[in-house]
Amino acid sequence: MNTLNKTGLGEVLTLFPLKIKNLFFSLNEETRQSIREIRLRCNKPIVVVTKSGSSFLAVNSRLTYILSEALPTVTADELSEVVKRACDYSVYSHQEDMKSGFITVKGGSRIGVCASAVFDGDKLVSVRDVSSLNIRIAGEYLGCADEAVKSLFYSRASNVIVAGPPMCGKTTFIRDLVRQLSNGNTGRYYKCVLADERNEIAAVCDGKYSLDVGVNTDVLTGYTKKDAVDIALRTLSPDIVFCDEISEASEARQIINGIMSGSAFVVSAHLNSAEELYLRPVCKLLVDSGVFDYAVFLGTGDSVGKIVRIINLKEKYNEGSRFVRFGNNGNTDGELLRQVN
Amino acid sequence: MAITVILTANYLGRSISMRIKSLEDFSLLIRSVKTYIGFSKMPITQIMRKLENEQNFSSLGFLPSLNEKLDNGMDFYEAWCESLSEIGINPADTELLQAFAESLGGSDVNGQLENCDMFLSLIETRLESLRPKAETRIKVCNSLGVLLAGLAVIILI
Repeated sequence: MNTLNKTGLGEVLTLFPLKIKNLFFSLNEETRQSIREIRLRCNKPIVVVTKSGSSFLAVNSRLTYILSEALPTVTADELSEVVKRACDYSVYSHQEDMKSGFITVKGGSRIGVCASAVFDGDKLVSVRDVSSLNIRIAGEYLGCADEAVKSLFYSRASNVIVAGPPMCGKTTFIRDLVRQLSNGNTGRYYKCVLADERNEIAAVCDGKYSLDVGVNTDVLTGYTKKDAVDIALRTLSPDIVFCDEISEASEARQIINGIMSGSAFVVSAHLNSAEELYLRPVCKLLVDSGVFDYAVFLGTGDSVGKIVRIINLKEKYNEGSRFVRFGNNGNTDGELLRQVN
Repeated sequence: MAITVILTANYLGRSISMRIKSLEDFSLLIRSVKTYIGFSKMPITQIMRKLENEQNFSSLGFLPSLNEKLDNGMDFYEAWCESLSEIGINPADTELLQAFAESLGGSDVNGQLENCDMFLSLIETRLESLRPKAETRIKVCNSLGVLLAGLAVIILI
């Protein structure tokens, strides 16, 4: 089973000026459901990304691949109006996110904000002059993690790295995984904690989860992963902790400590290939620690959200040959942690 | 007729008190907005929804109307201005409160807190000038009402 339950497009369209909103509503339902990204650029045509790639929003209730001057465009005022609405008319409540280049809106969709940085000395304090927005529509695909649940979590909670290139469905996959494990689909209601730094997995709004993350899941929204893992381990006694998009060594260290404290972890990371698992420093740190069981790779194109490869990291770790293959210098934190053990 | 004259005079005296009451309510509203922004950085639309359910603002009919308009997708500033016009407050006060709404949400937390303080002090200045006027006017109107009523009774007799 792998069905689209709902998308965040409805919430995203409420942010648009009436003129653009009506153009999207004039598209047929099937086309609307297939939209993955909307790109708004100042005085440029509106780019809509679907499974078939990028196309332009046309005035006659359709998407077109032909670039012409007749295509509707977005003005600078309209762009800033979208940002204002996305911030809920409260720039102060999204200021940190804006500085990081994104805003998460109701329904879990994420808006990438391209603007000019404003510095106070060498400190980034704000952004101004928004020039373009990249809106990634959140989708809830129920059942996309079925295979992982069956093969990796039936006997026990495994430590898993979910990997793949951007837009391969890592966040959607993690959302379905936490939902199934929390709902007892393995025969046990795992106590799950979701470290949802960008609020795009559960899309919490007014304390309610907009997207289904299961009945036995606690969500820590807005915390840094380091803080969230710390809080989870100290106060929430989780069976499994879920973290999206690991990118820093400090996060990896906290996760390794967490696993050693007795909780299982499922983390996701941007990777283009299995080889990069041993090349990207943050992933190398996780793998070299020897505490992760599996790396799950998701596909792109027609295989978006589907598992294309599972690597048994423990097996590889025990083989011990990869240190020679990938040139480990023995000085990583993973190596140190292993020595401690 | 005597009663009508007394009631009219009383109404004139109370109109200024009502203006003071509504300014005090809005002052309290801005204080609460300031607290929510400073403490939780909560978006302004969520703050308005929370305040609608608070006991202190149950007399402020403005909030349910504002939230209904926001739920219908109206822009915050437009919704605020329309809701203000519905409750029919003094035009000068309306102008002040519209300026407050226009400045809401457009800057960082410190900017917002300072902005709230500025509007609170503007409202307080207005209240300080209105309170003595209200007392004087109520006394004058009540006395005038009784005088006119007495006059009306004498004429009728």
